[in-house]
Amino acid sequence: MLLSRLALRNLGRHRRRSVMLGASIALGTAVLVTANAFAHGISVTMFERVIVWVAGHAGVVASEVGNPDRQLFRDGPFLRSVMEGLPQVKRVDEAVAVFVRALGKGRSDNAVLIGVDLKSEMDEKDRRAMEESFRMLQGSWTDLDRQGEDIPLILAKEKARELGVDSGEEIRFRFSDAHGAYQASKGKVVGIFQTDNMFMQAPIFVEISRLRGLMGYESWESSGLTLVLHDPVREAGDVADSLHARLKPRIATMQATTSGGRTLSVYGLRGDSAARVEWATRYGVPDSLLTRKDLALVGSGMGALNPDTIAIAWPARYGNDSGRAVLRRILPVAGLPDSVILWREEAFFRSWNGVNPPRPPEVSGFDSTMVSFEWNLPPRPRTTDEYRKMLANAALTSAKGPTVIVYTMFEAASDILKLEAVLNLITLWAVLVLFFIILIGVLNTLRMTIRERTREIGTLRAIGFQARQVQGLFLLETLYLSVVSCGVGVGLGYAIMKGLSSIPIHLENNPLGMVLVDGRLFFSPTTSGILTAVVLITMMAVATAFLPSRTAARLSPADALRHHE
Amino acid sequence: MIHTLILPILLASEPPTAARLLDSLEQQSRLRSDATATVRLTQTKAGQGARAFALRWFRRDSDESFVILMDAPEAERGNGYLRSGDHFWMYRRNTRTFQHVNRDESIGGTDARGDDFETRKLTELYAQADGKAGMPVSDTLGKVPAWRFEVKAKVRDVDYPRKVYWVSRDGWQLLKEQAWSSTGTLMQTAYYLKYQPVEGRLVATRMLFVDEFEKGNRTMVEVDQIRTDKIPDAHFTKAWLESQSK
Repeated sequence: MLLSRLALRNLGRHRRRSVMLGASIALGTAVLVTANAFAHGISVTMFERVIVWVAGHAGVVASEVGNPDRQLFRDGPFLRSVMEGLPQVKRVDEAVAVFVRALGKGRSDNAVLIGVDLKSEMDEKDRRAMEESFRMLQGSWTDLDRQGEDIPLILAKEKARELGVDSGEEIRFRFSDAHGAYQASKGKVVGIFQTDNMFMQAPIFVEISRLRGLMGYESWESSGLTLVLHDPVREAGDVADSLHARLKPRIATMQATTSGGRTLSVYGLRGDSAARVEWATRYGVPDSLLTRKDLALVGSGMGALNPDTIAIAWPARYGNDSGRAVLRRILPVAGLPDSVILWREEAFFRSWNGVNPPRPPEVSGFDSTMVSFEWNLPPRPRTTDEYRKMLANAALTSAKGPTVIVYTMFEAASDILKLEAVLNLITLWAVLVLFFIILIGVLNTLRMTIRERTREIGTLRAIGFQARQVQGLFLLETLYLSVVSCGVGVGLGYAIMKGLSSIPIHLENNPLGMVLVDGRLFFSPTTSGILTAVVLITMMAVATAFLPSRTAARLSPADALRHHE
Repeated sequence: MIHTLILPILLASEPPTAARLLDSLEQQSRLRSDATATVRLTQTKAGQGARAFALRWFRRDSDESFVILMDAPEAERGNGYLRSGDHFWMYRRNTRTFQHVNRDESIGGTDARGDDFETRKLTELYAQADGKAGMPVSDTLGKVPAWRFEVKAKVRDVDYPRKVYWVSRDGWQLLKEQAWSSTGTLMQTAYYLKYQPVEGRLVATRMLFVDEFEKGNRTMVEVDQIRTDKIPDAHFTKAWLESQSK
């Protein structure tokens, strides 16, 4: 208690020295707090305002013909239910986008049409983030909902300039729809926005249901879904693993009826060379039929059926249509149950995709190397290279079922994350350099201060202070000064952040523009970051004071009193 | 002889059904043997001038194989494409590597896509359009009498959901083809300008594809040196493609 009172009194008596030293500590704290908030701000901006729009925090891509740009999953409600069931998920967004050739007023350019779901359940924070990321210069997002023949469009001012259009003017598009058919449409510009994110200058936004219609999606079909998570960095991997497990495909089978009323289970017969060897050997299929992509194997006991063709029909999973097909190249084989047809997967999936049958039950009994699954689900990619390779390899399955890839932002948006990491690293180094310059000054001052007070130490020792008490006194003084200065430093840091974030910055066509929010630097101070800075600086100050105070305390009172600078 | 004289008259008199015309177009386009040809594409883009492409083309429909070797422009020379069964590779001469590509991939920077070379039956993809538009009616293209009829897609994975054909009345050769999007926009018009007899059949050797969406874009396709000799199996291999590109 005595030491505390003495420490406070000493700080008060040496006011100028305390103020100068405290100011240095406060400045160091302010730099650390500001830099930490800036680095965290970059992460927040990237995760909540950039990656969310580009790839989501995690997601599922489904493609049917090996073209990753042509995304189609036939059972959207199933996919959504799988994703919405995860507790870490804040929001599920449908990612509808297509590359287009856009014709404006005498100019043309490539662009991306992106669907915006105006009914999406965004919370206030997300809505504000969207408004700050896309600052409307003309019109508003709700204008996308305008009904009429012309499809309302919102685009960046840079894209509007490239196409030579302004609000109220027309843009025509050409693109391939979800099934690969060429499609054309036209829309009217109802809004123009400004964005600091150069990646967001290419898209042209359109209301999602209008785009889905143009893309030829049925109401139950999906283009793939992206997830917005509560804690993306920590949860993305686990969520993707859970999704991957939940999306395990079943053996694809259709419960079909023949024109004669018989019920049959129709399976897809895999066409890869390894599988061909398997079923050709098992069922004795002649070589001349191995490459026939319409071959159907039936049990030899199905003699009652027409030997040349079998007409089948099956119920649809969604919609009112029922599926119909005629199997023409029939080969009766021994060893196959009469209620089963094995149909080459090329023909099988053409029918399956034409009218999707109800989801098959779990089936066992067939060798899975021989029959097809609902979809191909490759292992979850762990790196960007693996992810890209998987998308490329999907081309191998062009004639068969869809390929479903579960990803996280760490693979899908790695370029953006690398940029975030680099910016954080640069910030860290800049802060470290600045911080150590300030720290060296503080440390030197502390050392000198204690050295200057050697005679005072001698007096204290002469009136009965123990060495340990003297050292404790100096450490307490440093501790009090550091705590108070850190408090001031935090306040100063907030003032610096407010000052810096009020300066408008124009970074057009610069990737660094994406770290800006509303055209300004964005700081996101956190309690843990501030506490870390305060504890770090206080500990360093006390540690620095430790050695000179111990040396001084160990002096004999006579030596200390004789000390002259 | 009588058959040769009478058939065109019979064909030209009464409007045939759209199904018969479609079936005829399918039969005409179907390859009965291997085929080799050189193809020259002159692609004109609005505001960019013309660009010429030359390629050698080897095709065998019996096992869905083809090889394309690019000869021009210089930037594409030596590159190639190989389709063998389900596999479709692109070969890059500079890197001497093969890469899997999908059926939507552009061939050598042209407007042609991988699926343009797929052998899907026209009658499985299209059927007569509903109403009067689908009924063949008499028309004239320049001075050539023709049947005009419209078809609609039976499946969704076709390039165009609606097409209008003009076929000659005397031999049912395809003369003109309009391709429409599902939103009712005319996307492309193809003119079949010249036919050449190959093994008793007429094969289109000069075609003009006009981009109706982006005015000024057009591609002239000229096919030459058509041969129907059997192509050795070795041609449809990576090794052969690589050896030809040196």
